[in-house]
Formats: sequence, C-alpha cells, structure tokens
Amino acid sequence: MPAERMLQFVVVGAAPAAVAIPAAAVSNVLAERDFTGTALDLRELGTQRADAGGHVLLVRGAGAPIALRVRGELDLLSARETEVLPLPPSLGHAAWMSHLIAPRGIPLVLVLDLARLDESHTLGCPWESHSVEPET
Amino acid sequence: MDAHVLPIQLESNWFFIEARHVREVLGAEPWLPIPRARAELPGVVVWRGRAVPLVDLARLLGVAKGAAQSRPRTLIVRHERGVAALPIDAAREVRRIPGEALKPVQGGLVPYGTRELDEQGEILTLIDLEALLSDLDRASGANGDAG
Repeated sequence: MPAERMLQFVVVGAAPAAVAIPAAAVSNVLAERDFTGTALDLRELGTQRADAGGHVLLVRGAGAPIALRVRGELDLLSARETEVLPLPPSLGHAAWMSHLIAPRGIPLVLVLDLARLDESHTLGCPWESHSVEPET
Repeated sequence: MDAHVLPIQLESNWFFIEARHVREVLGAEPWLPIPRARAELPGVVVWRGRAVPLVDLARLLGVAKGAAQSRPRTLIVRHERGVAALPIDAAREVRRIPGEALKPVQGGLVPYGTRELDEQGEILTLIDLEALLSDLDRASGANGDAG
C-alpha cells in the first residue's frame, strides 16, 4: 500500500485562533521590521496577543506574489492528506478559509483560502492592504 | 399520516424534529470557532472524516441562554444540501405521533415551527429543519454543499 501523502503548513498563532498556510506556497518569511512594501493585514488572525511578534509571509499562487502581514508565533505542521478536510462553503466563504486540519478527527486549525486570495487579487476580501515600513 | 419524530431539549424547552434527518446523537464534540462567522454558524466539527458546520439551533429558535459549545449532546443531521451538527441538551427516543394529534401551530411564536402536539398541557413544536438549514445556507452566501 502506498504511503499516505503528507502536507506541510506554516501555522501562525496558537489554537483555537491559529491559521495555516500551505508551506509550498510560502516563498519567504521576513521579520516585520525587515519588510518594505504593501502587505495584506492578517494580524486579527492567529493570536489575540497584541505584543506577539510580527512577520510578513510572501506567498505565491498562480498570480503575483502576495505579502501577508501576520502576528503570532510561527510553526511548521505536517498533516496527512486525509486529515485536511475541505470546509463547507457555508463556513469557508465568509471566513476566507478553504480547509480544516483535523488530526485524529480533532479540529485543530483552519487553512487560509489562498486560491481565492490569488484569484480575486484580494478584491472584496475582509483584510486591508497597508504599506509596511522597516523600523529605523 | 403518522410522523416519526425525535424529541430534543434546548434549555428547558422540548421540540420535535423529523427522525428522517437524524444520523447520529453524539456527546459534546470538540469544535473550532470560525473567524467572522455568523453567530448561528459559530464553528466546525469533524464527523466521519468530513468538516461539518456547527449550527446553533437554540439561537435560531430564540431559546438560547448558554453558549452552543456548552451543550452536552451533538445531533448530526442530514438535509438536502449536506450535513450539520446541532448542539442540544438532551434527546429522547424516536416517537411515532398520529398525524391527527399534530395540529397547525398557533400564533407562530416558534421560528420554523410547523405543527405542534399538546401533551397534557405541554406544547411540543415540530421544527421544519429542512427550511431552517436551507435558509441558513442561503444567508451564509453558500452556493454549494452545506456540509
């Protein structure tokens, strides 16, 4: 029997507010202070702690790379393909989340809907783009 | 025609739902909150390897006092567009109610109530779960499978 495929995710923040991004789509991770440019502000996700560290993730889909500004600890998560479940549209649509990672049937973390972000070029998405300046 | 119904308890109120919708009655299930979700659809549970929306039925019926996640039972139901998980306080065995005993609801005080049974002064309302979940789906902007 072939081995089950494992999928890797970058997880931002801690449960139950954590959010996951497919690691294959993340091309770079920068400390917030090292980034200059426009980033989509996802800091409301991941953690409620205002003092948590900030990062910018550069992600690429079919279109232009998107910079995501996030807040909270970063971690890597491996999950079996069968543990990554598509979210029903009634839940995923408004949240801009595409999947749920549920090891052993326990709902753990939601996966950001990168395809939708990519397709829409963030049009209509709930997060705003802001310019981020490096600290001086 | 006789109705096969499952009595369910939400807070101190008992309601009927049609037994044909019911797939399983579970204990309190772990669930994950969904950011920016409607209050009636606060989260997601996992049932038989699929992500299933958690529907706060008590809130939809206007009887919620506690939070959905604090209820000790989870009812898994199937409807035309998918599957949903409903936190409830208790359920009894499925009953067969003679059709003539179920009367049209008086006054429409219970949302989605279609018929009611007067049981020694206690009124138990039959909820149209199909309509309730379809409306919720439409309101959430979903175009496809609801679960």
